[in-house]
Amino acid sequence: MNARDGAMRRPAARHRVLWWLLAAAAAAIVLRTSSVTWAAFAGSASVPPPPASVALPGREVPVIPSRHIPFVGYPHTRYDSLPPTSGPHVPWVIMTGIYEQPVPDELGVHLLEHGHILIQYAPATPAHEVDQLRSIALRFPADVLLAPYPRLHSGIALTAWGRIQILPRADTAAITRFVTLLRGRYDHGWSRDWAAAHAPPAAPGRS
Amino acid sequence: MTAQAADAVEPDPARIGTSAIVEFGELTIVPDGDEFIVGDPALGVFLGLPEIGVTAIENLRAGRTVGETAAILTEDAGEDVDLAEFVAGLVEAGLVRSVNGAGALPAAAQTAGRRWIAGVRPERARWLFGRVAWLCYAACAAWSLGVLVLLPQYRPSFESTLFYPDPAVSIGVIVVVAIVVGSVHEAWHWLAARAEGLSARFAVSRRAFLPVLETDLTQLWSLPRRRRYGPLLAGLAFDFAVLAGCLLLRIAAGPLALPPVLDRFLAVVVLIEVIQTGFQCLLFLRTDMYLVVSTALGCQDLLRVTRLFLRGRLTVLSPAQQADLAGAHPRDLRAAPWFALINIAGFGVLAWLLINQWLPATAVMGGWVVFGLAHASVRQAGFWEGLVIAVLLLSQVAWPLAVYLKERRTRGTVQ
Repeated sequence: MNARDGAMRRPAARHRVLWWLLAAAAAAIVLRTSSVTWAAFAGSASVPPPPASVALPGREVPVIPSRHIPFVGYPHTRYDSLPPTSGPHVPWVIMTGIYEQPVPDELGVHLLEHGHILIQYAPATPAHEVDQLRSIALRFPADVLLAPYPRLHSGIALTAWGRIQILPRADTAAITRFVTLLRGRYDHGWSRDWAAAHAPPAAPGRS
Repeated sequence: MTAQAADAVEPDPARIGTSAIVEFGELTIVPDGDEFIVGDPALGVFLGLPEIGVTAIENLRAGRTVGETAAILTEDAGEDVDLAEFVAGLVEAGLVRSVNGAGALPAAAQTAGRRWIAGVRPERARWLFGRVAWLCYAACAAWSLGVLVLLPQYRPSFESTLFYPDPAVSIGVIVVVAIVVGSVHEAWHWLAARAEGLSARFAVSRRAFLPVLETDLTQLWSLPRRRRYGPLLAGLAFDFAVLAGCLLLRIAAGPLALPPVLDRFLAVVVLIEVIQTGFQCLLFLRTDMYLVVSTALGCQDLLRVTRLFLRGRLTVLSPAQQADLAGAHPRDLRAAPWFALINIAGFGVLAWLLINQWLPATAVMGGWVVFGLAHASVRQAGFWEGLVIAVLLLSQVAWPLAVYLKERRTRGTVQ
């Protein structure tokens, strides 16, 4: 009976303030974390990469404005490499994994924007090399998308955000190095974790 | 419903005389801590009553009048017992079938049209929920959690949504898989209830702004508390079995030479199942784990009491709400303050999901629809993608909205 009688009484003012403070704290946390997440839906600006302490595989490609376009096939500015390493893309992301059909550039670029690696091969690539590429893709199911790329006349194209390497044939060591060094380097912004792990050593005498 | 309105008994103590004969349906009476759960499984109405209330009902069921029963109880208790008020309470709750032959089924009228589904004989369902089966479900859960913790490359990601280059195909398949998996999850609850000899009924419903399928397991109240856990956990058991199978196949994809598209499809099912199991663990909504926790605490309507408690702390309760809260079960009232903290955190999570996932995803898909339908020709994939997403978006909004409006209409009818 005491509990029921207690519920009938109006809560003391200090209790009411405490509950309001708890609710306000929850709202503040939601708003603080939300402002960060919304940025991911706006596409990426042209920000050059930070310096790294290791020699990165492939060559750097300037990052071009990378706004969202409504659907694959919608007119947009030209990419600055083949295959592209940044630029306009659709707002949804395709899954990493192995594809037997080509993946449109507008889908692939968004995957690069999330820090993944694209391995794309010319249609004439021998079957045993494609099998070799598949084994690599299976080792990195969350990092790599493997697909044929009809516009590539020969060889294997490795792309990360703002980075490209063209190999004449499947080279497991080179591809593994490209994947392990460049995955997660960019994810809607140059990754702080990646930069910290690959930061150039501080100059002597400087703190 | 119409017949009930024509000659229903008013739940008014003044109209229940000492000569009244009260009739019940098939009742179940189950001890639950220091009280008893009394209910009519066919109507889906259950009440927590003290021992004296059970004695009163047993005497009334034996054919004694209200006056005769009151005299017996008064003699036992050593003080006057107001049985007319007690019977009026039973009438209002919907536990009484008739008083002096006049029908009295107000609570049952609320769920008219939703039929209890038996269908499968209990002995046919029992092997799915025996000791060996539960050990397998537990092994599936342990395996799944182990893989997700130890092998990050198999963790699901929202990037798994598009497992096929054609977005319309991907989304169409995901919707179908989600509905199938959700339906079998609910069917597993039902089968576990059947294994206990009970029936269940299905409905489309909502949790906050999210559309859901749900199974009405009200008849579980006719079981002792420890036997309620199986049916409550059955849906999650099914989810873990599917999750374990998909993760096993994905890990073995290389040696088994699975077609790549099948591997990616399995990743989609993993994503759907992880969302499903995660959702069922949200204690601040009427989910499976909420019901498990509530049952373990011996509570009767913890979520509703907690929401009233919280409302009372943040605003001012109306007299009706105050009376409602004051009449709540003491165990619900004891748990409400700390459960309110979980609710505040939960509302934060919901708000975060709404702002960061639901609204942006809806905005992105809305843009997809507008641009697709406005700029792409019917021969372009963009047009058909837009059309598929338009239907999906409309159903996402219309489903919870329709359920909400129906709930409001039902509340209005009951009041």
